[in-house]
Amino acid sequence: MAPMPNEYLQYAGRRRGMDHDRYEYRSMRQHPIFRWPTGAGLAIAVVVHLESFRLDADRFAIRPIGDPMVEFPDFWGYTRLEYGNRGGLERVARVLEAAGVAVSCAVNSDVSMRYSAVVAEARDRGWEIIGHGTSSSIVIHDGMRGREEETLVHDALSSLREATGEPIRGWLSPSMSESQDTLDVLAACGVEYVLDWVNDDLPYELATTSGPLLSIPYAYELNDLYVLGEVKQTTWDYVDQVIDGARCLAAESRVGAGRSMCLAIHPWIMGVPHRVGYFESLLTRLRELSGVWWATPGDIADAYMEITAAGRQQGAS
Amino acid sequence: MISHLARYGYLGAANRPTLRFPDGQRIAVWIVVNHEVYELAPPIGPVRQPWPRVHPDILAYSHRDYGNRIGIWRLMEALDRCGIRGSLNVNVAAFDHFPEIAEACVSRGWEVFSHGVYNSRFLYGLSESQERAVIEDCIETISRHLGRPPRGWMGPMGTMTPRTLDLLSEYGFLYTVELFHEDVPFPVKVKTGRLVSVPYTQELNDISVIGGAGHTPAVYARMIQDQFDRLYLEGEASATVMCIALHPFLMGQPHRIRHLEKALAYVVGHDDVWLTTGEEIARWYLESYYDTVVRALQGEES
Repeated sequence: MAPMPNEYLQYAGRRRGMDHDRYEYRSMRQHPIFRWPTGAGLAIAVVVHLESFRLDADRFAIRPIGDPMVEFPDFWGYTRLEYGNRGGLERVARVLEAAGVAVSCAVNSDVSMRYSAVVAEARDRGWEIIGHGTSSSIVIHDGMRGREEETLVHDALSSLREATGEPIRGWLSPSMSESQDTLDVLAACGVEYVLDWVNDDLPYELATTSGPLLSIPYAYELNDLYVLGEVKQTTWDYVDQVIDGARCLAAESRVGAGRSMCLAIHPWIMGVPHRVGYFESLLTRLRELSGVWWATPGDIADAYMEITAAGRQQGAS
Repeated sequence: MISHLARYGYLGAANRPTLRFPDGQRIAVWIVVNHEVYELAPPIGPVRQPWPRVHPDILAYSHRDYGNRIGIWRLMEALDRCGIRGSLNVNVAAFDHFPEIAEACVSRGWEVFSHGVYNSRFLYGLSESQERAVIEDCIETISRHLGRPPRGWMGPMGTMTPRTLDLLSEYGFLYTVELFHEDVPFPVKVKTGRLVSVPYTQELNDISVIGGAGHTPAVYARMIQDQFDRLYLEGEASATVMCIALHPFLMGQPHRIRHLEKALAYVVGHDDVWLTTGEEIARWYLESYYDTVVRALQGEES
């Protein structure tokens, strides 16, 4: 093996707090106690994925999460994902409507072109629309810094804004992947919160060149794509774990700061016939928990900004 | 080439001492909490990469960072409720970044041992002086935050060089957790001093059961109970050692903590269980059995 240079043992970011300047360290024990607007301790956000993959895309350097990455043309994999905007979505939407909970959706801008009726319907249902890149096949990373990334973010947001007439304040990157500039690009394009960072059960501020963004807790290990699609557990194990997670967070929020969690739902997974009944029962069981505020990520961002602004005022007086 | 027995030898069952703990317990249980920190933008690594998937890998980085912000605190409080002291296996830079974690170990009486500087800086390919610098850094950093040096060692990301074990005993480490050939402590052959292999676990490790195989926390909890039952049974004849290896970013998740607590309550609910730390196991073995076993090994080899 080649000798290692001495620079390998120099640690430029070794200091109190984080090894970068995007956010500050804050442990769950350091956050001041607060409640969400309804007096609830636990906010739950439903994020439905409206996604489009590219059948003919190059075989990418970065494997998109969920993409089977089989040789072109892979109609088996591709149409299975497409099912999410068709039968799967209809089933998931019916269950959500019956539950009467606040809903948001993360939308690839390709969907607003290819399935414009789907996006219009989501808006008409009152779902909050969140930007989700152009296509789930296109993963942002340092290899596309600069003009390519700016174009992607700009195109994704402007297509959704034009298609829906909504401001589009939130963003979830495809495969939760960013370049080191993404947050700056998003903030410059008017985005106010992102769901990409899976390191907290509470919102926190991310610094950008255009002022702070909020990080809103999203679901990684309790994402249906991870639990059911990647590690392939059963739907009933998924349901039990989400309930366990919600109970733990609700209990903590009764004695500490509020908590926030997310149900990330991919209709091509959760909307298949043998799963959707479990999703129904999951929503029923979660609605039986006390102290839950069903909110969109935008609602959570607004509430959190108010709470922290009030906290700052109190601190100043 | 280092032969497989050069570091530890073999002792047949007939020549092994019957192990007894000081207070006659059947089983020693120690909980390793692996507190690892990765850099967002580490240098290119030798042989393998800290972030092989994509650069920057904010998903993996922030998943790991969950351990710093949330997981370690939830895990510590769960262990508090079970009356268990953990043994923190720490990438020592974590204490410079988050000194409140070191303080929490001190106030709880947890053991702290060394897991290198960052999990994103490996030992592969280091010269002897470079490797010494890493070891000295670990001793200095833990001593500065804890007031005492570490006595146990795991290489960062499980990496090592052929000389690591010899350097450990030279620097006053008592034990390594990187040998898996026995499920009881065993002497390690080193150039100077003495070094004990204390049983750690790849099997009963949340990173393999939950992270790797993708099992549910309920499955992991059952595996912990099964492992305990068997070692508890065997411990009547000769004392046994059981390790449970946890990672705050995994087992500190809200949907898993209840299952861990349930498994630990099962363990704690038995009589004759020594809830202990790696250092205490190493010291017990060094005092009572190490030299006897070394002599027996020399007898087998001569």
